[in-house]
Amino acid sequence: MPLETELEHFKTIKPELLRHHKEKYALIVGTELLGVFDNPQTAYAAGVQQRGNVPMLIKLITEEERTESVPAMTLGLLRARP
Amino acid sequence: MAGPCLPVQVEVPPALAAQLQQTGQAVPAPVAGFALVDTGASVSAVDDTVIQQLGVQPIGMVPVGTAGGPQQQAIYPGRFTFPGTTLPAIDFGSLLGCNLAGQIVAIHQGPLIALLGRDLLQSFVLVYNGPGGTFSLSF
Repeated sequence: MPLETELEHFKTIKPELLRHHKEKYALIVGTELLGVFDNPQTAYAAGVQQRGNVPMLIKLITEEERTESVPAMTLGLLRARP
Repeated sequence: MAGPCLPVQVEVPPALAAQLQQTGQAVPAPVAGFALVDTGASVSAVDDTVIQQLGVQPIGMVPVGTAGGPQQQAIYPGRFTFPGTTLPAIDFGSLLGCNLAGQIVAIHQGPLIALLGRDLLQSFVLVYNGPGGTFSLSF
């Protein structure tokens, strides 16, 4: 899975991030927290500036992660034929 | 395939375009196709092959609900522009990668490359005129 290291590191530091930066966005490359930002666009700009075009984790610091829903894709509805 | 579709160009995020230019690298050309307005989607999505063409790297994994339970899927940054319309360019903090291969918008004879979900629609007014066979998207 992509970003496995970053996701693991996020899990480790999440309690601390929640205490000080709730509802902000964490930027992580490898096991390094590069910063905390107000929105994902500024986090991405900082990540690209510092590390270039590499995989990076930009994660909303929140208690519970939302599950996204795209039924047309996940249920194969786009490929359905009458 | 019918439905509310509009022309779209998917581009690398401005921050990446600037970084590539600064380092003397070519900025990948935008990928053109059509986007389907999908009010059932909580997030907007873009075809995986478009992501590959643009060379954009993942910025996260998110759980996506499926019939078999939530599955982790990669998200990417990206910019949408809408040629031939007055809609503004949209910079996405996260776009879901998905498989739209082979989906053709028949009326336009062009490939479907993106789904416009509620993360985008929350900034627009969508009017769907079923009997008239038209729709409008305004901001």
